[in-house]
Amino acid sequence: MTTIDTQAGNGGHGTPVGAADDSRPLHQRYKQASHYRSKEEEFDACKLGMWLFLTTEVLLFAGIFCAYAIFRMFYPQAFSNGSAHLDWKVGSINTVVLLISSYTMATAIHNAQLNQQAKLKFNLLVTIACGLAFVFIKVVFEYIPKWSGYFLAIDPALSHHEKSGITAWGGLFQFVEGYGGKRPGKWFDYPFAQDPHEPMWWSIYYSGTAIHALHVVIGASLIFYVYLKARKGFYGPKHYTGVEVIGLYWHLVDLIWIFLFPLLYLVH
Amino acid sequence: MTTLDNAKLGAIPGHGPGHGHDHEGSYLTPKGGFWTTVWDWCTTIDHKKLGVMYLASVLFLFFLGGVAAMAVRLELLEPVRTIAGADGVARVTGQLFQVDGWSKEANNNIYNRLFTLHGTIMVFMVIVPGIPSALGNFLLPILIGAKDVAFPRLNLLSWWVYALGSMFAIISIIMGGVDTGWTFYTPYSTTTDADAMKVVYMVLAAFILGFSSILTGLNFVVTVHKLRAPGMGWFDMPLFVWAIYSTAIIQVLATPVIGITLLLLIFERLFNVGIFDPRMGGDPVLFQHFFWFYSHPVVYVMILPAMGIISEIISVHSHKKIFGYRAMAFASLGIAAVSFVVWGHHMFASMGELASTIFSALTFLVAIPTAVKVFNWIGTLYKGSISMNTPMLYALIFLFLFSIGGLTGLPLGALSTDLHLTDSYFVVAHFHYVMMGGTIMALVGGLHHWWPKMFGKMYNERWAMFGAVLVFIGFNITFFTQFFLGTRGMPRRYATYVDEFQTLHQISTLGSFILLVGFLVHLFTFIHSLVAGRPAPANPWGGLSLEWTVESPPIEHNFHKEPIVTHGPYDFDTEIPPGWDPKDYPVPPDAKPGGH
Amino acid sequence: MSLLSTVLVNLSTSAPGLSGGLARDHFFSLSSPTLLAQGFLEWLHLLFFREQSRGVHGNDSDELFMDIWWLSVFFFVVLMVLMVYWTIKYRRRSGTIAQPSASHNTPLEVAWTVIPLGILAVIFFRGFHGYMNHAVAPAGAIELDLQAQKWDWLVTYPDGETSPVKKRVGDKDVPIFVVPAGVPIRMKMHSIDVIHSFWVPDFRGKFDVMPNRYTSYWFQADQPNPDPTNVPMKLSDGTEFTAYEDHWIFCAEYCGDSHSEMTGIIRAVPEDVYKKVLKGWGTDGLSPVELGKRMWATRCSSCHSNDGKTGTGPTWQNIYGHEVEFTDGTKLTGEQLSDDVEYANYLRESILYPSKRIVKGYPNQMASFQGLLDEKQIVGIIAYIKTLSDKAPTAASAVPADTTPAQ
Repeated sequence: MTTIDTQAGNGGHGTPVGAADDSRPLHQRYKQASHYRSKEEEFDACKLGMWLFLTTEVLLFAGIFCAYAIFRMFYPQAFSNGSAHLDWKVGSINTVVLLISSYTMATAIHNAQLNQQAKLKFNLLVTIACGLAFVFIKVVFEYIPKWSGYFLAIDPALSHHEKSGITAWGGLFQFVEGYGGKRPGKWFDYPFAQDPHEPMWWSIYYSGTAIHALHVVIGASLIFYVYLKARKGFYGPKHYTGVEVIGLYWHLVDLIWIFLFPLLYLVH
Repeated sequence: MTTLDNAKLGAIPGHGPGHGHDHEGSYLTPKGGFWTTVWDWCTTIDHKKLGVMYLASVLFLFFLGGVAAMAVRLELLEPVRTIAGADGVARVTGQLFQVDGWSKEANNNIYNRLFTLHGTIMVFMVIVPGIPSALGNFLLPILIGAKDVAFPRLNLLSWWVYALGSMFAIISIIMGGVDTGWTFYTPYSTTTDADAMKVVYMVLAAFILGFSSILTGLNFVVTVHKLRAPGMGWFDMPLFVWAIYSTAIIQVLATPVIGITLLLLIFERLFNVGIFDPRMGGDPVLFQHFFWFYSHPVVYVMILPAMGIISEIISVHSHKKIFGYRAMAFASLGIAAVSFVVWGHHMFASMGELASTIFSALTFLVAIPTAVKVFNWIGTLYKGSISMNTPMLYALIFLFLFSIGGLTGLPLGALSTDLHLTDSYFVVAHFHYVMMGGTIMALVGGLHHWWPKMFGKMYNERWAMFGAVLVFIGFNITFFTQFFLGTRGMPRRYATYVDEFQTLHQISTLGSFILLVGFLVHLFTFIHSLVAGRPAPANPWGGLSLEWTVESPPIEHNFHKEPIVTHGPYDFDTEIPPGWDPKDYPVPPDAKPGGH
Repeated sequence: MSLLSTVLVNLSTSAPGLSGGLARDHFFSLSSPTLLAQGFLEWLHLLFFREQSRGVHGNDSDELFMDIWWLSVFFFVVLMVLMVYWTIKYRRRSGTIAQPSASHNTPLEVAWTVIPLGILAVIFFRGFHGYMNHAVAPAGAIELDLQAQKWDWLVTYPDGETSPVKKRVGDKDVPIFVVPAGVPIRMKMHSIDVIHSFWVPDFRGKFDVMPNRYTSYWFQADQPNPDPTNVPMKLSDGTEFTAYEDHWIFCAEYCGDSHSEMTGIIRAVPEDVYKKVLKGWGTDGLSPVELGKRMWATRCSSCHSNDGKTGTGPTWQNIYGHEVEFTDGTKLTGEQLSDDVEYANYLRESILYPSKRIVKGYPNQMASFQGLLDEKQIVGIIAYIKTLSDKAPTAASAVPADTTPAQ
């Protein structure tokens, strides 16, 4: 077994670069961090680390799912009522968006392994765009109407409601009477609720989807960081750790939505 | 025989810190002027420096939490009572703060904030991170022959997250502190100080500190899996590594649950979401289940590393293989596993019969691996060659105090006796025996054991032993009396009490002063050691694990060349400790290799 | 049963009698020169528990506790003796190393795993058995309704009576709940705000009191051992009674500022005396003012004084006809509060919607009593508070502030 020379040069970091006259692309010049014996060892360690982190994320969301299960058991009518206020079509579109993003993310990893740099960058960008689209759809088509009663003018759900004629932002948003107010409130008055425990449903809905949306934003930001590195040619067949581990994270974010969606939107 | 050829014979002059063979200096050697050094430490990814920074903060916060505890004990010297003075005017006596115009409720409120402060600081900022983040960070890579942990930059992030969390706690304290108790039970915690952000900040502090714990745990698990030196199989690892590994697993699995719980608590205060609020149909007992699902495993996060330290100290200072190594390793894992299924024993007075019965039965199960460890440690002493110094004294103190703590867990695990004892001073005494008599004693003992390695200086053995004796005596006087307070009916978290409890409270407070002096003696001894202690050799105690093969203090990359491990960490019967003259350490002619 | 001739050594510095009949100031007692082993066991038991359990099933749990204690002492002594003995015997002598010895011993390790497991199983079963006795109330138990609030207890008896009797402890009046000895009593408990816990140390059991559901706790008090310093208690037939025994109630779940002052007393009396006590406690014949005063004593006095003293909430003295300022800057003038209708509306709002207007200088801490007080009780409170004001129409005969309700 070889001994490793202690090189002070890297200072214990990864991403060292070889001599200045080395003109190979970054991903071919990559050397693992000095406390690892080989690139494979570093890659394995990073994957193990990410899987452990995913476990912690699962346990974080487990609390919300547990609360959902318990209160659903206590108040089935309230949960049914609350769930009826959600539009399954919007939820389905969001699900499809995330599934597409997972596909492009997996493809990006594949691209890195095959040194397809252009496709790698493209797929990473599409993944980020899908993530942002997810958040956009959620905020504009779900949160804003519920909080304020203002629907985007092009929202197909508007056709189910009476037009009030009140608009905002130069006609971009239309106001629907009596729809808004479904937000966590200081005096927890939910005048639209027929069941006294419906606020419980809304609490879990907002906690669950908001924390999930936060993770989508975090994931998209990390993928953007990976994209910036990909632009510099940092990833290739011999080194694609960053793409792989962020891909794992993104798949988990998608998976959590796959669980949230049916529980919140589909089960009545 | 060892093939480690970078052992330093530390007794040779000129080979102290800063005089390594490569003239590299130790990890403590400053890299430049004052501000350069500050920046270097703030951005370091060296696990040793991070360990030292954690150690400094943990010790500082320990004293801060201790000040709060002293205030609590002072208040409890007198039951608050109204007496008529000589002038016939009724006065309220026995209050902590006798400020004109302050009502008794205001005084009680301050007391409530003080005990909450004590609990929050001690649990979240001292005992949970204490041993893993301070000693664990410093020693783990060296013990397995690695140059650093798996993710050094993540380690730095862990430290800054810890600092951020502690800062939020300090902000909350400056804003007046919270009075919810460290357990934040709802609906009290969601309704108290209704318009103030201080509760949110304190809960946020605990939430952020949880992330530090998760990231450290994650780092350690991967480190143990991936970075062991060649020749170090799982069963060649020192038991401290097994302990840290088991702890890290709990940290990774349990901490996210308190994360979501505290997050939901914050949402409830800020947005009135009502998951725990009975007025909206929520369930306050659900909070307790979520809370204890983490907080019970976390007490094993607190004690497992301590047990690892005791294994190291006893075997090194007895120059003897730990008795039942495999049993010890599996017991650590077993304790970690069972710790997840016993949380309900904190709630026997609020759960139904079936749940309580199941939890009680499972709770007794976790006592077995713990008892086995105590038997194994004492068994290690048999036919050893025991050197009595401060670390060894602390190991014995640990055995004494932790056994009492563990045994007093039995009436708490038994359902009928628990109905009387829960939420009384008996519980307070029990957890101080295990947390302070266990974890803190092991921390202090471990500090003395590894102090020469970490800082390259010896400490004054006599003063340290004196401090240990004071701590031992003070601790027992303070907390043994509290068992009687509990059985006699004194509830916990009481600012005032009825007269019949006064004598025991006075004795307990007296003990706390002795305890305080003991810790101050240690503080003074450590400071003196840093300033004027004599240089430490690489292997002052004659240990066989890898940390004793490197310089005191170690160079930045720990090892000059990657070590190849050819013997176990406790093979005292066949190996000569590195740096020790064979004349000081003869091997009997008829000793067989393997030591059986 | 050994006789403990006792020489009481009083180590406490508390003034005797301050805790009334509950002044058990003696810290430990020395037995007479005939110190039998039984006497020592008895002494230790009393050191732990101060006295024998005063409720049924309490003795079982005390016995289990002492058994666990002696088992622990045994193992602890064995372990510590071995530890100290071996530390001394095998201390390091220069030039020698440890003698060879086994690094593990499978039969021994199995033994010391299995035997403790067996012992713990026994302890578990005994604890479980005792617990089931605590958990399941016998049929025919008298059911009392217990309501916990910050920071007071209220017991409602089967026919709707509530206890007006209090005892002065320190500077507080603590409610006394009379119960018949030798009869199983089941408390149906709930809280109107946060979680509390009902603990009677003498009965060796407690249970949490929750805001969102009822929990139950039952006990049976032993026949009373009267304390010689008992203050006589008035019965409904005019006689006085002193042969009762008081037991502390402590709140055992942290609930805020006065958590440590949320004390109560369970007074065990013989069954026939109990019936006589309860007869005098009904509220049917009370006038509104008397009813209001009773409500104050049992529900409101923990936060509101009636004599001007500061407390968690504003005093009830001098509300009618006096100006009051609120935290949002608005106020009600003395003239407004001299109008009976406006005054009554303001008080009703304060009881049912307390967070709507908070008196300046006080926290928003009061829980609403909506659904917890009936019309008669609210009317009674409004009437009573009026009598506490020096501006009340019948000011000449205003009732002087009376902080010690009749026992």
